[in-house]
Amino acid sequence: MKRIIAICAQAFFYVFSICFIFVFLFSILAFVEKNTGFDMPFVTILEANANFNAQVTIPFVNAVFSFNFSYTILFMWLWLLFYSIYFYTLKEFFKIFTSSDLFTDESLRKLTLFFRLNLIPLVINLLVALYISFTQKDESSEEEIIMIVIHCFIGIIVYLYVDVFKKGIQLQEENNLTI
Amino acid sequence: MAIIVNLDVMLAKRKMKSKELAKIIGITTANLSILKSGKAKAIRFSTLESICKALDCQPADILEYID
Repeated sequence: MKRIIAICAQAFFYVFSICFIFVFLFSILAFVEKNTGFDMPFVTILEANANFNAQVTIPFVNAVFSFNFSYTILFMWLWLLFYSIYFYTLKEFFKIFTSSDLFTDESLRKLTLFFRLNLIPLVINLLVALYISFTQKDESSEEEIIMIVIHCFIGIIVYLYVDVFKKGIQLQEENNLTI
Repeated sequence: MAIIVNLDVMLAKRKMKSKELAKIIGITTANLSILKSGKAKAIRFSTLESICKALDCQPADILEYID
Protein backbone atom coordinates (compact mmCIF):
# COMPACT_ATOMS: atom_id res chain seq x y z
CA MET A 1 0.00 0.00 0.00
CA LYS A 2 2.86 2.36 0.91
CA ARG A 3 4.60 1.55 -2.36
CA ILE A 4 1.40 2.27 -4.33
CA ILE A 5 1.08 5.68 -2.67
CA ALA A 6 4.75 6.43 -3.42
CA ILE A 7 4.18 5.42 -7.07
CA CYS A 8 1.11 7.73 -7.26
CA ALA A 9 3.18 10.64 -5.93
CA GLN A 10 5.88 9.78 -8.48
CA ALA A 11 3.24 9.77 -11.25
CA PHE A 12 2.07 13.27 -10.21
CA PHE A 13 5.70 14.41 -10.24
CA TYR A 14 6.19 13.12 -13.80
CA VAL A 15 2.89 14.70 -14.99
CA PHE A 16 3.77 18.12 -13.58
CA SER A 17 7.37 17.90 -14.81
CA ILE A 18 6.26 16.96 -18.34
CA CYS A 19 3.68 19.78 -18.35
CA PHE A 20 6.32 22.24 -17.15
CA ILE A 21 8.86 21.14 -19.78
CA PHE A 22 6.17 21.24 -22.51
CA VAL A 23 4.87 24.72 -21.58
CA PHE A 24 8.36 26.11 -20.98
CA LEU A 25 9.84 24.74 -24.20
CA PHE A 26 7.02 25.77 -26.51
CA SER A 27 6.53 29.19 -24.92
CA ILE A 28 10.27 29.85 -25.47
CA LEU A 29 10.00 28.65 -29.09
CA ALA A 30 6.94 30.89 -29.65
CA PHE A 31 8.71 33.87 -28.03
CA VAL A 32 11.80 33.32 -30.22
CA GLU A 33 9.66 32.98 -33.37
CA LYS A 34 7.73 36.16 -32.58
CA ASN A 35 10.81 38.24 -31.82
CA THR A 36 13.33 36.92 -34.34
CA GLY A 37 11.05 35.90 -37.18
CA PHE A 38 12.74 32.47 -37.46
CA ASP A 39 10.30 29.68 -38.24
CA MET A 40 10.37 27.46 -35.14
CA PRO A 41 9.25 23.81 -35.43
CA PHE A 42 5.74 22.90 -34.25
CA VAL A 43 4.87 26.57 -33.44
CA THR A 44 2.61 28.94 -35.44
CA ILE A 45 2.07 32.58 -34.44
CA LEU A 46 -1.59 33.46 -34.94
CA GLU A 47 -1.63 37.15 -34.04
CA ALA A 48 1.29 39.51 -33.67
CA ASN A 49 0.22 41.91 -30.94
CA ALA A 50 1.28 42.73 -27.40
CA ASN A 51 -0.38 39.58 -26.03
CA PHE A 52 0.30 37.26 -28.92
CA ASN A 53 -1.37 33.91 -29.53
CA ALA A 54 0.60 30.88 -30.59
CA GLN A 55 -0.55 27.52 -31.81
CA VAL A 56 1.51 24.43 -31.00
CA THR A 57 1.14 21.32 -33.14
CA ILE A 58 2.31 18.03 -31.62
CA PRO A 59 3.48 15.63 -34.32
CA PHE A 60 2.49 11.94 -34.47
CA VAL A 61 -0.56 12.49 -32.24
CA ASN A 62 -1.87 15.41 -34.40
CA ALA A 63 -2.88 17.42 -31.32
CA VAL A 64 -3.10 21.21 -31.53
CA PHE A 65 -2.88 23.53 -28.48
CA SER A 66 -3.46 27.25 -28.53
CA PHE A 67 -1.61 29.48 -26.04
CA ASN A 68 -2.39 33.04 -25.23
CA PHE A 69 1.04 34.32 -24.28
CA SER A 70 1.53 37.24 -21.97
CA TYR A 71 3.66 37.84 -18.89
CA THR A 72 1.26 35.59 -16.95
CA ILE A 73 3.13 32.69 -18.61
CA LEU A 74 5.86 33.38 -16.07
CA PHE A 75 3.43 32.61 -13.22
CA MET A 76 2.44 29.42 -15.02
CA TRP A 77 6.10 28.39 -15.30
CA LEU A 78 6.67 29.08 -11.60
CA TRP A 79 3.46 27.28 -10.61
CA LEU A 80 4.31 24.18 -12.68
CA LEU A 81 7.94 24.20 -11.53
CA PHE A 82 6.93 24.57 -7.87
CA TYR A 83 4.45 21.69 -8.02
CA SER A 84 7.00 19.50 -9.88
CA ILE A 85 9.39 20.05 -6.97
CA TYR A 86 6.50 19.64 -4.48
CA PHE A 87 5.47 16.25 -5.87
CA TYR A 88 9.11 15.18 -6.07
CA THR A 89 9.52 15.85 -2.32
CA LEU A 90 6.14 14.17 -1.71
CA LYS A 91 7.45 11.09 -3.53
CA GLU A 92 10.60 11.19 -1.37
CA PHE A 93 8.36 11.63 1.73
CA PHE A 94 6.43 8.44 0.91
CA LYS A 95 9.64 6.59 -0.01
CA ILE A 96 10.85 7.09 3.59
CA PHE A 97 8.11 4.74 4.81
CA THR A 98 9.12 1.99 2.37
CA SER A 99 12.81 1.99 3.40
CA SER A 100 14.21 -0.39 6.04
CA ASP A 101 15.86 2.39 8.11
CA LEU A 102 13.09 4.75 9.10
CA PHE A 103 14.62 7.07 11.68
CA THR A 104 17.62 8.60 9.94
CA ASP A 105 18.88 12.19 9.57
CA GLU A 106 18.25 11.94 5.81
CA SER A 107 14.55 11.10 6.44
CA LEU A 108 14.23 14.02 8.85
CA ARG A 109 15.79 16.38 6.27
CA LYS A 110 13.29 15.25 3.59
CA LEU A 111 10.35 15.66 5.99
CA THR A 112 11.49 19.14 7.04
CA LEU A 113 11.88 20.17 3.38
CA PHE A 114 8.38 18.91 2.54
CA PHE A 115 6.98 20.79 5.55
CA ARG A 116 8.65 24.04 4.41
CA LEU A 117 7.40 23.55 0.84
CA ASN A 118 3.83 23.45 2.18
CA LEU A 119 4.29 26.87 3.76
CA ILE A 120 5.05 28.58 0.43
CA PRO A 121 1.64 28.06 -1.29
CA LEU A 122 -0.05 28.64 2.07
CA VAL A 123 1.46 32.12 2.38
CA ILE A 124 1.00 33.00 -1.31
CA ASN A 125 -2.65 31.92 -1.40
CA LEU A 126 -3.31 33.76 1.86
CA LEU A 127 -1.89 36.98 0.41
CA VAL A 128 -3.84 36.52 -2.84
CA ALA A 129 -7.08 35.79 -0.92
CA LEU A 130 -6.58 38.90 1.24
CA TYR A 131 -5.83 41.01 -1.86
CA ILE A 132 -8.96 39.76 -3.63
CA SER A 133 -11.19 40.24 -0.59
CA PHE A 134 -9.99 43.85 -0.03
CA THR A 135 -9.66 45.08 -3.60
CA GLN A 136 -12.08 43.05 -5.74
CA LYS A 137 -15.34 42.84 -3.81
CA ASP A 138 -17.18 41.06 -6.66
CA GLU A 139 -14.60 38.28 -7.00
CA SER A 140 -14.61 35.25 -4.71
CA SER A 141 -11.40 33.70 -3.38
CA GLU A 142 -12.81 30.18 -3.02
CA GLU A 143 -9.95 28.49 -4.90
CA GLU A 144 -7.35 30.24 -2.75
CA ILE A 145 -9.19 29.30 0.46
CA ILE A 146 -9.35 25.65 -0.64
CA MET A 147 -5.58 25.66 -1.34
CA ILE A 148 -4.93 27.31 2.05
CA VAL A 149 -6.98 24.65 3.86
CA ILE A 150 -5.33 21.76 1.98
CA HIS A 151 -1.76 22.99 2.50
CA CYS A 152 -2.48 23.95 6.13
CA PHE A 153 -3.81 20.46 6.83
CA ILE A 154 -0.88 18.75 5.10
CA GLY A 155 1.58 21.11 6.83
CA ILE A 156 0.20 20.29 10.29
CA ILE A 157 0.34 16.53 9.65
CA VAL A 158 3.92 16.73 8.34
CA TYR A 159 4.95 18.95 11.29
CA LEU A 160 3.70 16.24 13.66
CA TYR A 161 5.67 13.64 11.66
CA VAL A 162 8.82 15.80 11.95
CA ASP A 163 8.35 15.94 15.73
CA VAL A 164 7.82 12.16 15.97
CA PHE A 165 10.85 11.52 13.75
CA LYS A 166 13.08 13.74 15.93
CA LYS A 167 12.10 11.68 19.00
CA GLY A 168 12.45 8.46 16.97
CA ILE A 169 15.99 9.35 15.88
CA GLN A 170 16.90 10.03 19.52
CA LEU A 171 15.51 6.65 20.60
CA GLN A 172 17.20 4.92 17.63
CA GLU A 173 20.56 6.45 18.60
CA GLU A 174 20.10 5.34 22.21
CA ASN A 175 19.18 1.86 21.04
CA ASN A 176 22.21 1.70 18.73
CA LEU A 177 24.46 2.67 21.64
CA THR A 178 22.94 0.05 23.96
CA ILE A 179 25.34 -2.89 23.88
CA MET B 1 30.19 9.99 31.49
CA ALA B 2 30.30 9.05 35.23
CA ILE B 3 30.42 5.28 34.61
CA ILE B 4 33.81 4.03 33.38
CA VAL B 5 34.17 0.66 31.63
CA ASN B 6 37.48 -0.95 32.61
CA LEU B 7 37.38 -3.65 29.98
CA ASP B 8 40.98 -3.09 28.80
CA VAL B 9 42.28 -3.78 32.32
CA MET B 10 40.40 -7.08 32.57
CA LEU B 11 41.38 -8.11 29.03
CA ALA B 12 45.05 -7.49 29.90
CA LYS B 13 44.71 -9.48 33.15
CA ARG B 14 43.12 -12.41 31.32
CA LYS B 15 45.50 -12.04 28.37
CA MET B 16 42.61 -11.91 25.96
CA LYS B 17 42.20 -9.83 22.80
CA SER B 18 39.13 -7.65 22.13
CA LYS B 19 38.34 -9.62 18.98
CA GLU B 20 38.33 -12.85 20.96
CA LEU B 21 36.05 -11.43 23.66
CA ALA B 22 33.65 -10.01 21.04
CA LYS B 23 33.39 -13.44 19.40
CA ILE B 24 32.78 -15.21 22.73
CA ILE B 25 30.06 -12.85 23.93
CA GLY B 26 28.46 -12.57 20.47
CA ILE B 27 28.77 -8.87 19.70
CA THR B 28 30.67 -7.10 16.93
CA THR B 29 34.16 -5.64 17.53
CA ALA B 30 32.66 -2.24 16.66
CA ASN B 31 30.13 -2.54 19.51
CA LEU B 32 32.83 -3.74 21.90
CA SER B 33 34.91 -0.74 20.87
CA ILE B 34 31.94 1.55 21.63
CA LEU B 35 31.68 -0.05 25.08
CA LYS B 36 35.42 0.29 25.79
CA SER B 37 35.58 3.92 24.65
CA GLY B 38 32.73 5.00 26.93
CA LYS B 39 30.43 6.02 24.07
CA ALA B 40 27.80 3.42 24.97
CA LYS B 41 24.61 4.82 26.51
CA ALA B 42 23.56 1.56 28.18
CA ILE B 43 24.52 -2.08 28.59
CA ARG B 44 22.13 -5.01 28.70
CA PHE B 45 22.30 -7.38 31.67
CA SER B 46 22.69 -10.27 29.22
CA THR B 47 25.80 -8.62 27.71
CA LEU B 48 27.23 -7.86 31.17
CA GLU B 49 26.60 -11.47 32.19
CA SER B 50 28.38 -12.76 29.05
CA ILE B 51 31.38 -10.47 29.68
CA CYS B 52 31.68 -11.52 33.33
CA LYS B 53 31.42 -15.19 32.33
CA ALA B 54 34.06 -14.81 29.58
CA LEU B 55 36.49 -12.85 31.78
CA ASP B 56 35.66 -14.73 34.99
CA CYS B 57 35.08 -11.54 36.95
CA GLN B 58 32.45 -9.47 38.76
CA PRO B 59 30.55 -6.50 37.29
CA ALA B 60 32.42 -4.24 39.73
CA ASP B 61 35.68 -5.31 38.07
CA ILE B 62 34.43 -3.89 34.77
CA LEU B 63 32.23 -0.96 35.81
CA GLU B 64 33.44 1.93 37.94
CA TYR B 65 31.58 5.04 39.09
CA ILE B 66 33.53 8.31 39.18
CA ASP B 67 31.98 11.38 40.80
